[in-house]
Amino acid sequence: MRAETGKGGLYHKLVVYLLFLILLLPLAGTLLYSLATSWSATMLPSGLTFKWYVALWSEPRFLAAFGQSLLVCVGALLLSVLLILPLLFVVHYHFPRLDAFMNVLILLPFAVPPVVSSVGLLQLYGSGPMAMVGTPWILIGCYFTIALPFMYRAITNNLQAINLRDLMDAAQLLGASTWQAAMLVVLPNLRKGLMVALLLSFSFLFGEFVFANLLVGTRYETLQVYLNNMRNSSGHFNSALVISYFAFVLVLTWVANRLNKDKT
Amino acid sequence: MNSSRRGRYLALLCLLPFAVFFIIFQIAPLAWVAINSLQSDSGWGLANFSKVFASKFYLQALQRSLEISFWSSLFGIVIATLGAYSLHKVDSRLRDFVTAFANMTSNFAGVPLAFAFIILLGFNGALTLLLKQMGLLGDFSIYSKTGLILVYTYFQIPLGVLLLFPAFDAVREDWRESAALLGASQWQFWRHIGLPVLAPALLGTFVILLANAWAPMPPSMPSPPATSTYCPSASPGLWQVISALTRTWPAPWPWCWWG
Repeated sequence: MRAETGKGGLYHKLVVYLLFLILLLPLAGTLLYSLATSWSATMLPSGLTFKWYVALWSEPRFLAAFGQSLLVCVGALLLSVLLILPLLFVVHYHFPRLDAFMNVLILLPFAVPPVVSSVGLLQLYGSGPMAMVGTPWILIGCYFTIALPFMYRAITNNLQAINLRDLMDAAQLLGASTWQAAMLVVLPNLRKGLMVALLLSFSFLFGEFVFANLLVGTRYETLQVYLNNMRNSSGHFNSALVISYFAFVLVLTWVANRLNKDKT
Repeated sequence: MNSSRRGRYLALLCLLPFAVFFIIFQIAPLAWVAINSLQSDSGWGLANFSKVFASKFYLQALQRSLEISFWSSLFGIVIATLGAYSLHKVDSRLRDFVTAFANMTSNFAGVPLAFAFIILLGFNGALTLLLKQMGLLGDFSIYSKTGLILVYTYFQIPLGVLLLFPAFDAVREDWRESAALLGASQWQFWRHIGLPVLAPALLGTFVILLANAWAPMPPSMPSPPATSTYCPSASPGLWQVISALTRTWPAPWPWCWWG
């Protein structure tokens, strides 16, 4: 593709800048608001300060919610890796025909919106032998289903790129057992793809709200639920919260993009 | 032969943990909802469904969801199409930067996004007050249908750009030159060549945007769906279109609140 010059080029540049501006505006506004001492009915805030960030990052409830969000997401991703990696390996190595069936099965988390699932989950695990509602465990389980389609597809693409069967055959010719070949040869080859899938999954699990709010709520407050519960407090404080959240996710996606670029 | 058979059984055993978790957290809740939707005081039947579709309240909610999904997807795809095309025409540094930025903002959804809009455009939002002072705002409110469509359109744009960007590779520059040589105007080129070539991608993306907006929102918040699960680096494959379709259609949520 080559860049266009002249009148047409100017038009395209303008459109791209405009697009950038549209995407930037809410973020920039929130950032400015979070740094303002007060800002009402003037073009620009009357003064700049970091006090909202200081207040936010010394608020124990926020720190607790942040930590709990981290725990739930990391837990869910660990569980996903533990469940999905063996699954993928077995499907692709032993039962390649199962892949078509799995591709339909992993659509379920897409097809069933969290609100619908929640109704069933609340009834089934609200009481009785498997009472989990209100604990982080149910969130970890649900987040596994959310991450599943994405992780399954991402790792499948990776497996196809590394020629699983040849790699396994080569390792076994050299005397490795199936287990050794899987752990020592296949797994290291998947490392980068797995990291990218994990980072991106993390960034959208971190933003999950419906399950967290309906199934657990304030009993184990995650960041999104905290954000929602704080909606009536100071706008500046909330802006600092939004910007902190976004900055965190930004770093994660940036790292994931970097890894993704190195890969190719 | 014997050992390979044992290997297969072992392999099947490896699938067990996954199956258990998937059944507990995905199949069982769904089955519960499905079975209970068919049960009412008068026993098995479609009584709940007929109640829902006879209820003005639910139908109105359904219609509003559809309206907001449709308009936000439409605005989103128009802006995204213009943007994605222009992205192809600027130099690569600007292009890479804006694509990366779109990729990042596509994660800016859910409660934080709603907050950003409330802070800026809510009742006492900085922009609201400013625009009111300038007399530009009229009776716009973020807590209305227009407001919701605005917020939804915002999070549709990055997704649309990312999905459409690869599609414009198909519109080759030499086609445009050939068409121009044969005397076609810009408009004729797009009307007869460009848009027909792009049509499948546009349609697919539109369906995905619809699904993206159709996901349920948390109560009492003008908030887009909390998660959008897609692979930013992938082009819109059949898989995504199917997933979008399945998420769009079997979807009159209200009935599950029947209780």
